[in-house]
This record gives sequence, C-alpha cells and structure tokens, in this order.
Amino acid sequence: MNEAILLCGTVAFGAAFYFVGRGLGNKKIYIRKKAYEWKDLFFKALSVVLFLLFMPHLFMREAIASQIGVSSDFMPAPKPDDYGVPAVYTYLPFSAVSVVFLTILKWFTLFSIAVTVLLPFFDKREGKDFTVLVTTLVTLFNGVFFRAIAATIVYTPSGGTDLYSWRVIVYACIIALNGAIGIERVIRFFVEKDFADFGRRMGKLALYILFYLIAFMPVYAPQLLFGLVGKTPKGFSVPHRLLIYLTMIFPFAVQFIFRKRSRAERRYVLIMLALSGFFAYFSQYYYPGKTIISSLPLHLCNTAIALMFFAYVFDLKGVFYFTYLVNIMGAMMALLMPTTKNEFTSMGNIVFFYNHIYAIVLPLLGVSLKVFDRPTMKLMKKAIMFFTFYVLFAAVMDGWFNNSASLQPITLAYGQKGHIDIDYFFLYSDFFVNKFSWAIPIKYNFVWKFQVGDTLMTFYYMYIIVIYLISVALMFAFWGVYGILYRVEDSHKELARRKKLRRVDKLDLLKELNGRSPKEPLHPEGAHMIKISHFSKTYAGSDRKAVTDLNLEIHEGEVFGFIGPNGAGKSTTIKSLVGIQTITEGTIEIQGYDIARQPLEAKLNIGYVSDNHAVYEKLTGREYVGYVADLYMVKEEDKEARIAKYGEMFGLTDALDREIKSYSHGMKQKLMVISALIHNPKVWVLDEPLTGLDPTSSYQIKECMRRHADEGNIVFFSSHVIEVVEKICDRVAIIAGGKLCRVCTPEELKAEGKSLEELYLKYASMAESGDRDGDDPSDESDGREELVAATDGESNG
Amino acid sequence: MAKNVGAIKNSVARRIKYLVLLQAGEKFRSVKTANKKKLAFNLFLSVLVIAGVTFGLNYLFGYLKGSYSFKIGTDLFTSVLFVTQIISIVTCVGSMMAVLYNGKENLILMAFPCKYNEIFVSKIIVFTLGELKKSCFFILPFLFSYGLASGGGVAYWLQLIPIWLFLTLFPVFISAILSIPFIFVKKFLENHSVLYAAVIAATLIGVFILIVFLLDKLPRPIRLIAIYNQFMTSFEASLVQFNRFALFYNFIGRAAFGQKVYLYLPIALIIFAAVAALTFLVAMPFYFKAASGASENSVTKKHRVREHKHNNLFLTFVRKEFKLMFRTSSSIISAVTIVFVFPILSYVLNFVVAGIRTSDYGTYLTVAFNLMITLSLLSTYNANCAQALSSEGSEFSVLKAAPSNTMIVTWAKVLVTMVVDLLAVATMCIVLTVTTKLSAVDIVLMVFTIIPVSLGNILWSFQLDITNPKVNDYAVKGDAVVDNPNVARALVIGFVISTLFGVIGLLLLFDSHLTGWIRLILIAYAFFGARLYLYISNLKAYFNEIQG
Repeated sequence: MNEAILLCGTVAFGAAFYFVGRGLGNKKIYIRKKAYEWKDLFFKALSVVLFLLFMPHLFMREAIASQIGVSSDFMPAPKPDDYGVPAVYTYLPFSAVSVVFLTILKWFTLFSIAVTVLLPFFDKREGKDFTVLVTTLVTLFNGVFFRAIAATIVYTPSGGTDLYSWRVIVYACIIALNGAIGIERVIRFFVEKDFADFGRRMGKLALYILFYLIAFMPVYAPQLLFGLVGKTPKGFSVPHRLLIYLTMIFPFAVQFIFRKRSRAERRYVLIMLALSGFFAYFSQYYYPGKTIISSLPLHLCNTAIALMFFAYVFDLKGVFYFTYLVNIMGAMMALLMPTTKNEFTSMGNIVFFYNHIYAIVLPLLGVSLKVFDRPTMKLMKKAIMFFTFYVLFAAVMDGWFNNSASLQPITLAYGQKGHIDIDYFFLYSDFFVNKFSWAIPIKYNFVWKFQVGDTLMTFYYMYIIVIYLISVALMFAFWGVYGILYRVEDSHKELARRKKLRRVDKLDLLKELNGRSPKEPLHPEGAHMIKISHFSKTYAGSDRKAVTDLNLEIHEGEVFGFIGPNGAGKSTTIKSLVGIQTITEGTIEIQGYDIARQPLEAKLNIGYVSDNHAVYEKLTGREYVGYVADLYMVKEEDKEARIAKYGEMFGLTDALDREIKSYSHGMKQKLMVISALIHNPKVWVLDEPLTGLDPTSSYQIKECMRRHADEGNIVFFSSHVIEVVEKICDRVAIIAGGKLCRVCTPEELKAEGKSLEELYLKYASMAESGDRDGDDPSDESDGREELVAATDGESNG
Repeated sequence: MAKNVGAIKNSVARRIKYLVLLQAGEKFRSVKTANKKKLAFNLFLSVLVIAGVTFGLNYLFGYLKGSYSFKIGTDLFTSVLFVTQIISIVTCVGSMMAVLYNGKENLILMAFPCKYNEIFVSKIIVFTLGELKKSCFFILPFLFSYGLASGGGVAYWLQLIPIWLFLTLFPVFISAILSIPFIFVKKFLENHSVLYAAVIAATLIGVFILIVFLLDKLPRPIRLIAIYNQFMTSFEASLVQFNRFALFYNFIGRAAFGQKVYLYLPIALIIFAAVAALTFLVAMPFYFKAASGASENSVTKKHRVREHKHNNLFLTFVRKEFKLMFRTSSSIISAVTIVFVFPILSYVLNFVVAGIRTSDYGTYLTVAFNLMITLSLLSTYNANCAQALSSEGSEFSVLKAAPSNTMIVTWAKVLVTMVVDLLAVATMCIVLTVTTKLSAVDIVLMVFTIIPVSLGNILWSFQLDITNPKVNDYAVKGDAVVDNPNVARALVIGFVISTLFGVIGLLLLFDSHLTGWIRLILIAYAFFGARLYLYISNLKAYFNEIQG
C-alpha cells in the first residue's frame, strides 16, 4: 500500500511538473537586465530542493554501511577504530543476493540523484537520457522494494525498521522528487518525440554510465559485493592492487578524455566528481560531538571535500586556490604521516587513502583541465589569506573544545561514552611533536592560557606560528613544483604543436611538388640561381628584425659581393641562406630547392666558409676534411684527389696530418676553404673570408673564388674590404640596418661616377641616423625602394 | 710625488673595479637581467633553501645527539671543517684551472691596457664572489645548524661570519697557488697521453689498495649492534686522531667553541693572511705565463690516418666522437673515472654489507642499494650529455650546414656514452660477483634494469641540451663553461630517477622476489621507451632550430 502511494504520488508530481513547465512556457523574468526563463528557474529550484532534502540523509550513517559483506556468518568482536568510531555491525535480514541487489540499487540511486541535481544547470544530452531511462527505473525499484530499502537506512538488530521514522520519510520524499523530475522528462520525451539518433545516444549513455558509476560507488559497496567477512588481509590482494592501479590511472584518463572538450563539459565532469566525493565522504563521516560545531569536519582534508564541491559549483576562485595550494599540501603530508594504527590494508586505511588522494587529484584536475587558471601571485596571496583564517579558526576551536568542561565527556553514537578529540590541523595534540622532537620546547615553553567561563582556553602560540610558517613555506614550495609541472606540460604542448606543423609543412611541400619527388627542386625554373624572396629574420627573445624583407637573385657564373656595416644583417642573411639559422619570413631557394623545406637537397649544393674558425681543433686537418667530405657524401676517390689538389694549392699538404690546434689563423681559414670545396658545390658562400689573412693567402682565396665562378658556379661572399669587392665582384649588394639598400655592378657605379666606398659610407650613415628608408627628398633617386625595384628589374632582365 | 702615487693606486683600483664588473656582469648575468620581482622571488627561494638545509642539518645533528649520544662539539666540528675544506680545495683547483687559466676571455682581458696582476686579482675576486654564493648553501647553514645543535656560546655566534668568510676564501687562495703546478703538469700530461693514462691508473690502483688495506682491518662478520659502543668510542677517538692532521682548522674549531680565543683566533688569522699574501706573491707572477701558455699554439702532435673506405654517416660521427674523446683529457678522465672509480666505490659499499649477516630482506636492501648507487654514479657521467651538443660550440655550424641528416650525430654521442656506461656496468658486475653474496640471477637482473634506466637518463640529458641549447656560450667560452644549467638539471634528474628506482626496486622485491624483478624490469623498459619516444620527438622538433 505504502509502496503504491509512493509510486503513484511520484507519477502525479511528475505530470504536475510537466504541466507547470508547459504553463510557464517561454515567459521571462529580467534580473539586472539579464533574461531568465521562469520554466528554467522552476526546474533549477526543484533540483536545489532535491539537493537540500538529500543533505540531512547524507549526513546520517546508513545501516547498510555497517553491514559485513554478503555473508554475516562471521562476526568479529566490535572494537572502536582509530577515529573513535565504534565498530557496531548490523545484520540485515536479507539473503546474499538481496544484499547485492540492494547495494546496486542504492549505488544507482545515489548516481541518479547527482544527475538530477545537475540536470537543469547543464545542457547535457546524456544526463537527459539518463533521467528518462535510468532515473525512472531506479524510482520504480525503490518504490517496489521500499521496505527493504528502509531497512538499509535505519535497521538495527534490536529495533528492526520503523517505516514512519523521519529518516525513512525524508528518504521517501527524496525518491519521490527525484522520480517526479524523471517522469516529467519521460513525458517531455514522448510528447516532443525526442527519438532522433537514438542508437548513438544509447551508446553514449552507456559510456556515460560506465564512467560516472565508478565515481559514485558508495564506500561500502566493494565490501558488500565482494565481502571481506571481517578479516583484514595481511598483504595486498589482486582486487586491492586493481583498485590502486585504477586510482592511479583514473585522473590521467579523465585528463585525456576531457582535455579537448568544451569548458562547460570539463566543468561538468569536475562537478560530478566533486559531488561524488562529497556524497561518498559525508555518508561515511561520523559526528561524535554534542554540539554541531564541535562535530563539523574541519580537519584540513575534510574541508577539501566540501570546499572543492563549492569551488566547482559556484566557480569560487579564492576557495579553489585554497584547495589547490593548501589542501593538496595537507593531503600529501597526511599520506606521508598517516595517523592510523590499523593494518595497512584495513577498510579504515583504504577510506583514508582514497579521501586524501581525492583531495590531491581533484584540484589538480581543475587546473590541468583549465577550468581554473594557473595560480598567480595574487591568487597565492588570496590562498594564504584564506589559510590564515583557517589556522586562526582551528586554533580557537582546538583551544576551546579540548578544555571546555561542559562539552566533556560526551555521548558517542550507540550510547558509548567518550571524549571529543578536536585537533584541527593538529595544532593542539602532540601529533607533530611525537614525530619531530625539536618541536617539544617550542610547544610547551610558549603557552597562553586564559579563563573564559568554565573553559581554560589554551593556545600553544609559538607552536601554532611555527606550523603556520612552515605550511606557508610549503605552499610556496608546492607552487614551485607546480611551476615545474606547468613547464613540462607546456613543453609537451609545444612539442605536439611542432609535430603538427612539421606534418602540415610536409603535406604542403608534397602538394606544391604536384606529384614530383621531394628530391626534385621545388621551383625548377630557379635551378641556376640563389633566390631570396621577402626574407626577414627576427631572433628569439627580440622584437627587432635583424633583416627586413630582403629580395635578391644571384645567377650562375657570378661572384656576388655582400657588403654592409657591422650589424647590418650580412651574417644573419648568410646563416639563413646556408641553413644554419631559421627563417622568420620569406623564402630562400638554392638551385630551386627551398632551404627551409628541402634542407638536405639545398645544402648539397652549398659550400660554406663561416666567419669564425669552426673546426674541431683536436682532429688533424686531413681528418677534418675527411669528416666534412663524409657529411657531404663525397666519393672516396674524389675526396682523396681533392684533398691532394687543394692541399697543394693552399700549401697545406705538410700540415694536414697535424692537429688543427697547432694551425695559424690563415691555415685554419684555408682548411675551411678546402672543406667547403671538397664536394665541388654549385654555390659557394663565404662569410668575411679575407679577415686576418696575409696577402698571399688572400690572393689564393680570391683566385679560387674567381675560378669557381668561372666554372659556372655561384660565389656569394660578404666582406668589409671594399676594394676587393669592387675588384672581383660581378655584382654587389649593400645592406644597412637590416634592409637591402642597393644592388649594382661596378660598371654601373663607374657610369654614375661614384665609387663603391662612397655609396657604402652613404648608406651606412643613413642607417646609423635611422634614415635608411630613403625618405630624404633630396636623395629620392637613391631611395631604397626605387633601387630595389631597379634591382628586381635587373634581375628579371 | 705622494699625489702621483695616490693617483696611480687610484687608477689601479679603478682598473680592477672595471675588470671585476666586466667579468661579474657576465658571470651573474641572470641576476643582472632579472626584474625586481623575479630577483626578490629568487632571493626568497634562496633564503628558503638555506633555511631548509639549516633545518635538515640541525635535525640530523639533533638526531645523532639524541639517538646515538654523539658529541656535537669541537672534534666533530673540526673534522667536518677539515673534510669539507679538502673537498672544496680539490673542486676549486679544477674550477680555477678552467676559469683562471683556460678561460677564453683571457685573450680579451689580456689585451686590455691593464697589468696581468690586475687581471689576476680581478679574476680571483670574481671567482671568490661565486664561491661565496655557493657557500651560502652549505657552509653557512652548517655553521648555523651546528651552533644550534651544540648550543654554541657567544664566542661561536660572534665568530660565525668571520669563520664563514675564512672557510670560503681559504680554499680559493690555496687553490690559486696549487693550480699553477697543476696546470703545467696537466699540460705536460695532455701532450703525453700514455703517461697521463698511466698516472690516472696508478693513482686509482693506489687508492684501491689503500681501501682494501683499510677494509681488511674490519672484523668479520660485522655485527653492528655488538660493536656499536665500541664503534662509537673508536669513532670519537679516531676523530681526535684525524684532527691531528687538521692543522690550523683545530685553531678555528677551538676558537669557535670559546677555547683560548685570544690565542687561536689570531693564529688562524695570521695563517690566513700569510696564505693570502702567498697567493699574490707566488701565484700572481706565474699567472701570465700559465694563462698565456694555455692559449698558445705549441702543439705539433701528428696522428697517423687510417684509411677507411665507407661513407656511412653514423660511423663517421662515431669515429669522430671517439677520436675527440681520446684526444680530450677531461673526457678521457671522466670515462676512466666512471669505469675504474665505480668498482672501487662499489667494492667498499659491498664489502661492508657482505660482512653483515643478512636476512632475505637484507639481500633485497643490498640489491636496491646497489641499484641506486650504480644508477647515481652512472648519472653523474651521463649528465655530461646535457652539454654534448652545445659543447660543439662554433663547430656546430659545420653540422648545420651539412646536407645530411646530422641529427645522427646525437646518436653517435649516445653510443659513445653508452659504451662507457656498459664498461662501467661490466666492472660493477665483476665487483658484485666477487664481493657480494648476491646470486648470479640477481646480478644479471640488476644489469637488465640498470641498462634501460641509464640509457633513459642519457636520452633525457640530451633532450635537455636539445631543447635549451647553449651553443653560443660554448662558442664564446669554450670549455670554461662551468655553470651550464642543463648539466645541473640533468644531475638532479639523474639522482631523483636513481633514488626512485632504488625505492621502487626495494618495495617490489619486498613484495615478491620473482615478480618484483619482472615488474621492475618492465618499469625500467617503460621508462626507457618513454624517454626514447620523447627524445626522438624533441630531436625532430628542435634540432633544426638550434642556431649556432
């Protein structure tokens, strides 16, 4: 009869909710110029009522939580556990099968209440489908088996179950309201014919249930389903190990699955997890105190569970960073210094372990899933402020409740007598002192006592200050550790980004090659030249361009001089040209190969003499040239012949078998020239090759450059020796302040009646005065743009 | 006249000041370039570290005093000072040789219009500043914690700062003197590599014989509990004996604890002043000769070239790496040290453990301990990989300009390091077989664990260099780069990983001997796999962007 009333009432309420919702339609209310739908507010209010109704039930222990496994044959003598909780066991008057069924039903009920509470706040498809399909079923079973369910709540061996006790009535209301909201959804489902894509939705719903069901598992479920039969195993069993491994994997799985979802979805998963923790923890929490305040879970890790829930639900930054910086620290310390005396694998310890792991994992997920930002100094200050209040509050509570005559002794549950053991943040007991003997004098030499009514308030003030300061220091240490972890995360993201870029670049290249092999030149029409197009270079950590929008074409058979004052961008251009440095903007092509995208093919055509003596000094000259020849894949017979040829040409034959360390400046330079020519490159690039050379060596290298160009190759070199440039170059480019100023032939200059030196000095001084853009009206004919245009014309010609 | 002398002195001081500022600006450039907030934060962190070390040491001394009735007084203080000073002097001589005489900036500084003596003084000042910074993290916390633990009187606290300065400066002055003969000897030996190797080998053999001799004095089996009181008494007596060689550190120790302060403190000060004077009188005149000699091209060593007919790039790199290793004294010393010092240490540790009658748990403890020590020692060598690519310096441009997949060079470097590691592991195996009661299976399984972890460490160290290269620093300073943060980071990572594997190994072996090994090896290979994947990914992503 009772069951029928419950179920019918539920259906009636469900229908009423539907019609109220329909009646409200799309009517809106404006609060602070923001529109809210009445219908939406109505269902949100229902959810809040459901949550508030569930709270008193949650904070009371259920009889089922004390049930020993599926078999109650074995019953050890009751004894209090570490937390003063008396181990009183109940015998539910059910068979093993019934206990399993009831456990699973309660599990799903808990889950469905959480889904219903969040339903109007998130537009979650799976949540809606869950309500339609699962919540209604859960309600049906709860209604049908209500007497058995009532026994799981308040059953005692001596008194049985009182169906009209207030706890059972409240539970019935919870079931009815939860079910009514579900029924309203079912009606809406059929009226709106919401069957689209039903198969896929069911698949998603199955995954949704599988994922959250783990989170909402009641703490007593494993014991009831698999049974411990009162014995604490000595070592870790296979289920133990599986649970531990699952716990380790779970946060990573959450991070991996949800990292790319929307913020709302990420927030939803965190709220669900926070809610599951909140349900699991407070359904187990025991209130031994006489007054409410002395029973509140205000130990640091207790606060974590509640604070995380509020932080995620209400998006409270201050609260969140308190949990992120303080609770995690507290939980880690608790795991390192457990207060238990039980067997390592006891139920109490497993609950202790999970509670603290939860207090660590959930805030970490908040930041890693980017629901909250990484903490800044400002947020750190907020967290410290919050922590300061907490320590002060804990100190007052500890000093008060441990010395209040009216509060001691107290009556514990099940009629046992006991004492309040209030020790928030361990500011009162000898917990730390027992572990760190150096703290003994700090604690007992500095005590502050004063009488308030019947209570002698007692504070170990120096001890409290020291613990507070150490904690703040640890907060900073944690902040530092987070910093390291953020860097690791960033580097992995950067790595992934670069990998993606490489893939995209490769695909782009293949697309541009249009079916040709990547070994072929990207632009075959440029197979006989160096082509620099819109090249710009900015060095990392600098916002200034070292070279800006440089355009050049150099053709076969040319000796091309590149001059400019120090810091003009010559070496930067050359280093990018030979592939030593990256290109910020534009392209550089060598014989049609893009140096950035086809580096190996492009470099095969280049011989490079750097501006420093980049040689391995501990190798001999011959070893070094051989090493470079191998890098350039020169055939053995060619290598030997060329070493002999160039060794003789530069007078190095005798020195080739000596360590380079013993070479003079000029000898090293010649060795570099030999190694640059060892593969007979199409393009020979030299960066200030004549610096510090004697006239003979200088002459030899100049001759070599001319000869190499005459053989149909390109010689591109930078120099400060203007006379030499003027003398041996077919064309010259002047660069100043990172911009190309002019490209011309010595003949053109002669025709203009100007010397290269004059031109060089002019551009150098213009660059120095920041006037290199040619904006001097009296000098328009020499303006950069005009000149570059002329150069382009010349190149095209 | 007096005015002229004053002006000259003034200009000497000014020149030294500018030389110091120039070098200090370079050495402490992170401090110079950091903004105020960052500076304040770094300062705060440093204070935190100093407080942490002080607290840790104080706890250790308190524990020794409380649990083992250890006398925290003058004798222990003097012994610790003496030992740490010896270590300081040894490390200072090495750094001094690199910085004072082999630093590439010498070429620049010597060209300045200032006297060589002034350069010498400026270098000593800059070096001392660095040492003072370092000593804040050990000597200062040690002095604080020892004072707290021993209940040091007024005399102790009043003398604390002078003692700190003395203990920091003294090794600098002594090593300035010692580094002169060493630099000449080193240079001589570098040109005679066979002699060099022989000297190293002889030294190591000598050390080994000495250790074996000392260990043989220990009664076996070693019963720790039975000989505890005897041990403590003889330990305290040996401290007194040891302090007989501690020279004037005895004076400092005694003065610190208020014994004849009027006598010991002036003596210590006089000795300090004498050493300081000696430094400037003896070392200063030799400075120019030693420093300029280091950069002179007097080497005419010839090498016979063996013909090789293949063009395999990897083999080319490997050949080059081996050649460079054998021709670079610091590399060969590191390799020889890790291959030969390793067994000595392992021998000592295992000799003591083997002398104790152990249960199964004791055996597992031995295994885990050996695992941790072996990995730690290997990681000190492997940490060099964190500068392997950067140390190519300006030569790196050759690789970058080459039309080949020059990333292969890093694999060649990995191979060279791996060969040395394998040699070290092989010697360790021999030592373990001879000195421990560990079964052959345990030793083999340990090797199977060590190799992937060590390889993982090598790859991690390389990755640090690839993602944060210091090619330009090495191009400018050459071998004088002594503060590469990547190397420091690699050392820390290596130590953490070694400790982790030691602890995990212990827990797993306690859980189950057979499955413990299997799980440990699986974890080791998983670690190697992860590092290999990350290394290859980072290599591909960053190598092309390393700019010389």
